[in-house]
Amino acid sequence: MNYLQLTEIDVNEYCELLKSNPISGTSSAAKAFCAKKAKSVTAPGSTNLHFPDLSAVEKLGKEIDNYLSDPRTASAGNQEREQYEAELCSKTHLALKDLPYEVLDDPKFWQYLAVNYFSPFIMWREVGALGRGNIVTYFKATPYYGIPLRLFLRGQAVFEGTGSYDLGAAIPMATDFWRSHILKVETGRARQIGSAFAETHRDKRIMTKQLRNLAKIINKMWANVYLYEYDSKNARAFLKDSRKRSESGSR
Amino acid sequence: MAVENRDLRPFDDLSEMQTWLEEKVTLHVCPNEGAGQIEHLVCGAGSTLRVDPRTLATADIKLHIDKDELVTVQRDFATQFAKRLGAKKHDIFSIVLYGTSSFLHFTDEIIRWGFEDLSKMHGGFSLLNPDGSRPRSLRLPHHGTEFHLVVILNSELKPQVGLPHRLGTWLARTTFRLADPAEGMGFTPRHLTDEIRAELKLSSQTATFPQINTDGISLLEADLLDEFVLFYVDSPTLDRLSANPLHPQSALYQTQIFIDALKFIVAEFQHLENKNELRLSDVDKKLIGRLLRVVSSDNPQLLQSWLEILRNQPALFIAEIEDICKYQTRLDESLVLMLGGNK
Repeated sequence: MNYLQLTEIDVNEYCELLKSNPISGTSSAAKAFCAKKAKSVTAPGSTNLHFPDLSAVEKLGKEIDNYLSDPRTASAGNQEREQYEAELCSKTHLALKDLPYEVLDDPKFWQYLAVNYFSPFIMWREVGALGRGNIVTYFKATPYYGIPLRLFLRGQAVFEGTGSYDLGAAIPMATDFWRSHILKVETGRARQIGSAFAETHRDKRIMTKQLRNLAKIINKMWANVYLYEYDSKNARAFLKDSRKRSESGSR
Repeated sequence: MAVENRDLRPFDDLSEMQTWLEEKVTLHVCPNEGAGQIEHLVCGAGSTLRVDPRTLATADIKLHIDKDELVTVQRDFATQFAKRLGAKKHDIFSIVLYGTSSFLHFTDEIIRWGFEDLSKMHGGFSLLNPDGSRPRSLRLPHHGTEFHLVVILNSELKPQVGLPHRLGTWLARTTFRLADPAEGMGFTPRHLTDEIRAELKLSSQTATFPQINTDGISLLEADLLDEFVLFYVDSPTLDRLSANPLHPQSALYQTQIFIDALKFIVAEFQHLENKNELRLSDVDKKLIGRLLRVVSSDNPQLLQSWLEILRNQPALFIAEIEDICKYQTRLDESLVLMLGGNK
């Protein structure tokens, strides 16, 4: 399997261009940059030299462009931006989940995706970072910050936990919840526990302090228990009990 | 030898099994491509084995015990412990191997056995799917895989003081980690084109050239190899390597390029005026720290001694890099292909 990648140096260079001239972040300018810089490589161990079918992500890139071209979107508040990110998680996972893992495991592939398909979204979603000069964080393939990897991982956690994408966008203003309490910690890899945690937060929103207490109770459990063993029924019972304990202040 | 810094548990567990896992179980990487059968690479309990991305993506991976007579003993220990927990036999325990990707954030169950199945590890139990395909945990050539081999309680028991009762409680466990030697080093060979040759005043017969990055990031400031040095490789050669990554000669040359880049770092380190004053904490989070982690197989207790070796015995340091990169294996594969004969 052949595929395209962008190195960290390429991404740094691209983000320098964005800083000096934000128009470099339009879809056409980003694609022109990739056409010049992206390098074709063969996945280690692969004898198949075909390129993966990226038509679904290409289509998603166009859908994002259309959404962002609406004048109302430019002035969207943080809540709308978070909600649109939530909706993109399922679409990003759906568009990429059938690619070979040998390709998905390469951070340089994700950097190519970020620049080639997600530049306008990154600049819109992380407009504050663009102003502060650290937009590069969101183009690099860091699992919790880099877009589109963080979109994919959130979609993956939801899909593999529940078999559908419904939960992904069901909690308003939840980017930090997914990042801090699911994706950054072991909990997200125990799919049933992660889903049960998200469900309980969806059903009755947990305030920040209590959310941290609940997360602490779950994270402490990992010292002695492999929570991967919990099916959805056990996971819900565990979350119910842990939530009760967090609300009563016991650990 | 058993690890000394054991976890302190709030209840009794299978301490005999813990020792057995650490001493008797290994993970074998069995390269099966290239010229002939290559000897197995062995990853001990609690350690990291660094293998190149091609091997990570193509080799068979096996869980292995050398002798199986102690399996019966472990089974007896498990039965005795099960009885203390109020069960009749050891079927309240499962032996599970999980494969984890930290980058793609998943943990999959690869195998699940009862104590009756333990002897399957004798002679090596392949982690490939029965049809020979690879589970996704074995398809991670860039970030590698962390394996957790765990004995767990597979059902919820009635709580008793000083004894485990929760579903999923681990009673003995160990880890094995497979990683790419270049993991986290941030190394990308650059194309040495005609234009760059002219710019750097290099002849047409120069195949590789390490150029210190003109961005001005010093060796001690750099987080990644690419930030400090641009390692150029003749452009058509690099294209050929990319197009034929499986070929033993390609694999050999890719390994050689990586080793050369690290040799350059080792050489540059010798030129630092303050190299003798540097403490581990000065370099730990930077490129040099990453290099120390590679040669120490991620053992934090060895980082300081490898820093001393880097300072005082650079040839020995480079020799270890060759070992970590399995350079001799790559050389053998290539020579057998070119010259014939056996390894």
